[in-house]
Amino acid sequence: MIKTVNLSKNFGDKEVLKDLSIDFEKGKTTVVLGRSGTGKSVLLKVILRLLSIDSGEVYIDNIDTTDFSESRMMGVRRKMGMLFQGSALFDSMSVYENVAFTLREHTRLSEGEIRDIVKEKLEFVEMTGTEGLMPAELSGGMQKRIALARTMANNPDYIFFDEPTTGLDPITARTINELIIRVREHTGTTIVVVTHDLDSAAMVAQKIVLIKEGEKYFEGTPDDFQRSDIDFVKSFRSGGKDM
Amino acid sequence: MIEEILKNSPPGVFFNHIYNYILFLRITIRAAIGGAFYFKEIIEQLYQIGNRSLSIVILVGTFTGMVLSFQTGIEMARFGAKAYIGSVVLVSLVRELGPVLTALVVAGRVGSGITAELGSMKVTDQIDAMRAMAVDPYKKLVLTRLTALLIMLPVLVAVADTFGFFGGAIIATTNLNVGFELYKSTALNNIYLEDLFSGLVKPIVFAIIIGTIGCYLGMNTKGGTKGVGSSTTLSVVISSIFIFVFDFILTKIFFLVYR
Repeated sequence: MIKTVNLSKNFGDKEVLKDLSIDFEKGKTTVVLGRSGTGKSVLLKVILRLLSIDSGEVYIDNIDTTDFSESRMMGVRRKMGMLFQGSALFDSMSVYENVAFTLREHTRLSEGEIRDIVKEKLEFVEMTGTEGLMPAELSGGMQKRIALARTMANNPDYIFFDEPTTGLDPITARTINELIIRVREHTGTTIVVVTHDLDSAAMVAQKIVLIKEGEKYFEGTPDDFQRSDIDFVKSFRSGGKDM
Repeated sequence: MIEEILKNSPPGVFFNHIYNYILFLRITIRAAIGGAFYFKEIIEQLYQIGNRSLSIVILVGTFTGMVLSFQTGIEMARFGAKAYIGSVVLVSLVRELGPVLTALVVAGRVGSGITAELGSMKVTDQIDAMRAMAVDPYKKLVLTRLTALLIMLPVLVAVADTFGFFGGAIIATTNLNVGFELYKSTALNNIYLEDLFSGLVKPIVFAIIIGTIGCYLGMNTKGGTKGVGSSTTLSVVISSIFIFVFDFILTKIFFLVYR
């Protein structure tokens, strides 16, 4: 389980996260919704400590990681994976090398065993046969799927998805959403998705958190979200028509 | 407001860079202690640096030796000292021109490449992705490039010195009527251990300058592709300036120690 308590983050004078307290329950998919630029991606980066914490606490598996050094966080990050908005595939490496990356770094598996795992993960994301391709030869949706295969390579306990469907056509976006559901069903991984895409949230979420300008406005089930009378929730649901 | 203006003023930007560069050095030194050792990546970087620079270093070395031999040979002939042209060419190359010109070539070819590569990785989240996968980018990317530069730059300087020496010999024998044996013997008789030591220390210091500045600017690139372009240009400019500044400082130190 991941828990943030009164988490705050500033960039200069701008408060990006304000006293954010959220529980990301084990084995569930939590979707953090919010408009663009409201600090959703920053939240993920702060939990992973790719960005520092200004105040508040972050608990991972009931351990307070707030004051962890970079080297201690390295150990924590081995249990986690993140799929970046732009996929962030290593463009100097082939698809095979990208997916094999963490296995080569953190395990003593033979190349044969690594090849088998890479094949299995690529099958899972339906990208078999792309091992020799370079990221530049792939479409946006394909890159997202390869990035997911790379994230899943070392079977992390937690996977963070940063805007997984942004910039994709509706059919490819649906494929990515189905993959997110399959990941949870097949592996029991705790998943956190940050997005502004309501269709995506409706499809994958077991819990929804809505944030506005770094503050939490809503936390509950997708049904609660649909029924909520909170003005901003209503406005977000209707795409601003109720504003 | 005032704080923001001060921060964005030229002295503010300068001192911010100095602070971040020191921070970068501290993280790099920490990364060097213990943990994974990327031997394969270092070999790959050695090949990349050598491959990118060797041909141009050979050209620069050869033509520098030829020009040096021609220019000084004509002047020395007026004083009847052209027999010592070999000594002048070799000492100038080993002490000064070999390290400085090679370092400038490497700063332009390799330092800029390192900044562009790391900068692109930074702005496309590849560096963060590496950290998210619990891999230290300072160990994997910075130290490997720095180590390879520390090994390869002295080798490239030796290549430039050698080709410069023979370039000088071509002019000495064809234009100045100095035989190769005389050219060689005066050169070798007047080169001392301290000259060779100076010729070894300078490339090591220059490699640290090119490597750390190239990696620092790459790892701190912001602002998309435009930022990558700015960092790359800045990398070559700052490295070149520091190469000249440290060349003077090292030359002064060597003269104080050995004279």
